[in-house]
Amino acid sequence: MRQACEELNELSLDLKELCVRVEYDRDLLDDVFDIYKSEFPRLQQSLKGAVERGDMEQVQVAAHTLKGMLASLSFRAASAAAMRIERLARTDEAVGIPAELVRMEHSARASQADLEQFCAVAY
Amino acid sequence: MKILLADDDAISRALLKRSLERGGFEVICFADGQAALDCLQEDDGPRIAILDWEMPKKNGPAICREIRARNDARTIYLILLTSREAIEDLVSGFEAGADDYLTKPCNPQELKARIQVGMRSLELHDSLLHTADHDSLTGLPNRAHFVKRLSSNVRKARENPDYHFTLLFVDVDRFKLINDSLGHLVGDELMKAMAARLVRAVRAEDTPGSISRHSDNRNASGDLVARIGGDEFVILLEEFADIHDGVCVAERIQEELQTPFILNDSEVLVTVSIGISTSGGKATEASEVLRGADAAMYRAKMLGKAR
Repeated sequence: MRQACEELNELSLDLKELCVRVEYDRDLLDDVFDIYKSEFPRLQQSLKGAVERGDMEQVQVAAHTLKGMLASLSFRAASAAAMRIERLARTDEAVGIPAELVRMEHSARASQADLEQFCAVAY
Repeated sequence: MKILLADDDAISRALLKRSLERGGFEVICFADGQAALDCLQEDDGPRIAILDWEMPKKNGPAICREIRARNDARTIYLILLTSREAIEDLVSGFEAGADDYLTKPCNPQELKARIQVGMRSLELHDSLLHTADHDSLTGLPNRAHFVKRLSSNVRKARENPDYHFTLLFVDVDRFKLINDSLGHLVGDELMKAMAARLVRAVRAEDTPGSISRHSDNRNASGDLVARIGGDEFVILLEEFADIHDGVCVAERIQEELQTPFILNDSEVLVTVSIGISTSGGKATEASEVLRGADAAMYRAKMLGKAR
């Protein structure tokens, strides 16, 4: 896994950092990735719903949770977008949120694909 | 060692839990703040806690504040988890009572290093607490410790008329003579040996014909033997209903002292005078109960010592 990590460090997520965080434990990586795959869609829907309703307090809460989850997996670009959404919601700047939401979803999808690829080759 | 981990982010929780388990810790996880606080408030709860800042029901700083507001000796080392961009909030976290912080997502090596710091801090705290509460010569609880415990018993007896305790005041007869004739170092050795015999006498649960609590199979480990002055010892017998129980313990002490002490290669027979006081009287303060036992001990001395 360590070697695969060195080879694939040019991807959209910070794999090196992630590998250090899971202490090169393949089972732990699988576990947290599974948690992500089951939790992310639910949180994403919660955030989208709050944006549609204009509920800035809930947007802030959902974006904060997503930011932490994405950062734990070193999905850096997606986590940064979630952080910007949280800030915009805090300052009540709803107008900038939809664009950041799209950025977050796009980045998360790309990082998820990269991590899937990494997990397929890293034994 | 048990560590409490409270974080509503399942991924962060899984990562931290595994890192800590690899470090040999037992980890108790919670996803909300109130459940974490309830666990920390248990008597045998974890003494190190890692608390996320934002959590449902109760946030990390609020838990820190409630833990620090408690007035008991059990110290808990509190580490707050915070995101990098919220670093400016740290001051309020420390003001709430946190000992340390970690930024999320955590580096496993940093996590383990911070836990080591927490363990060192707890060990130091426990050691200071022990030194403050114990007599350095005999290792027994000291006067401050004893008065705290006696006060708690007096309060309990005041609130509950069915609760009783007994206090024995033990004074070594002619200790000054031993000190003057054999020297202070020998006097110190005698105090250490005396402490050991008193503890043995109180814990002698299998003694034939011993006091009623033992025939009821009750554990005597709640009893307290303390050294409160040069040659003064006190014994607090908790949940004792009858002065005869105290008399039984006093008799066992006198039995223990039938065997001479070996001091400076010589056999020395030492006697003690014992005063007994119970919670049945009108005393409402620890000092009054202690005075009562002290006065009873002096009466014993006046009647010819060794009683």
